Amino acid sequence: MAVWKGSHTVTDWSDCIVAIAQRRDRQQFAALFAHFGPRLKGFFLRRGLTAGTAEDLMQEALLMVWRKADRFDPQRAGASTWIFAIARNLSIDLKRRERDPGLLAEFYDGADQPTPGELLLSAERDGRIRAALAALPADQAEVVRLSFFEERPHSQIAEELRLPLGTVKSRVRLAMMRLRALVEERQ
Amino acid sequence: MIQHHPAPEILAEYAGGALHAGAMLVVACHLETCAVCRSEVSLWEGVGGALLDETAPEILSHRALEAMMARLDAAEPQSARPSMPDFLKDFDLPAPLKGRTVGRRRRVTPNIWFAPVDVPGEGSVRTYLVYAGRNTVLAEHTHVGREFTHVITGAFTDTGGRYDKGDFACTDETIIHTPGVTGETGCLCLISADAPMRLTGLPARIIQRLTGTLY
Ligand SMILES: [Zn+2]
Repeated sequence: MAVWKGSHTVTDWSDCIVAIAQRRDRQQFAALFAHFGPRLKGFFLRRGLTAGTAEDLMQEALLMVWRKADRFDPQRAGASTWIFAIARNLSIDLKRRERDPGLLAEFYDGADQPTPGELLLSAERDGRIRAALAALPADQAEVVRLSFFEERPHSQIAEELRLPLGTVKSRVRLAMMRLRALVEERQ
Repeated sequence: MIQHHPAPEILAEYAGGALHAGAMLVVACHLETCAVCRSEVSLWEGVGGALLDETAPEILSHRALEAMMARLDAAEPQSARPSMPDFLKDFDLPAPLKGRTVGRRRRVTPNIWFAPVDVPGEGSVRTYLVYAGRNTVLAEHTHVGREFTHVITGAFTDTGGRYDKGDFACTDETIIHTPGVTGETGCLCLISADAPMRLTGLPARIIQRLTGTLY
């Protein structure tokens, strides 16, 4: 089981993106690149892309961070969560652009408005998600990892783990209930 | 008031990007109207973020940072949004649909039409808008794989009950159905199916054989 801590805290990276938005701070961007660049490359590689494409998409994702930094709202999402959503959308969008290279990468936005009554700051929420993930039983953690990291539909995960589809689905449901309970738990 | 939501595992697949692009689009349209599901998805995106942070770093190519920094000052290209065809002008379309190219409308009866929506796709996936006027019923059919539906306007009734504006429906090969339009107006839906529908009623099967695969 991985350790859910890095050298920077979640808040640091949010501040970093805010600095990029406000001051076009290249040094902060270089620091962000040093952290997220190699991880994004790993993320795209695990989705089955070649090293070259993985590196291209990594650059595109971070270029989007540079350009759209003013749309980042630290109340709405933590930095890694925001960057994860950008990377996910780029990998889905890739097929469209492969077919028609003139098309630009779409910047999807707006689907994740904060919910009324959501009191937790997202940095704090992200911290709780990490703690909750670390506490997840191994079988649930495995399906979560496969579906997030390797972009596999549940039907395919079921095949690979030789489990009935219903079992995979119920593990995802259980993981979700557990995560939600841990994240919403009052301190 | 939204009554029908995507199942929790569909929201998890959406957040992880595990659905095909057409299905992603249909779920995104639902999310635009549904705060409950948005909060569910944002939790799963938080999980994605945590996993991204924990990914083992991969070594980047020589001078990757230099190449990256050199791109920062390039002017941001403007993306040209396709314009929507005239027959959609009177509808209040969901925002995620607006960046998409919608193809020509094909009427199958005077009261029912289909129009393809261009999404990057795996071969058999069909993503389209379907409009059915008041008091119409679609031919009995079933699906191979899953079919996601988002109600843009109007309402229809199906085996799962009544579906109104903003509702989400998911059917699969276990369901043979004949959805019908209820209410005072026609019904416009965005649909994405893993594969073309299969008509099951005898007259419809004959028509399908004559006209080739529709949607
Ligand atoms: Zn919903």
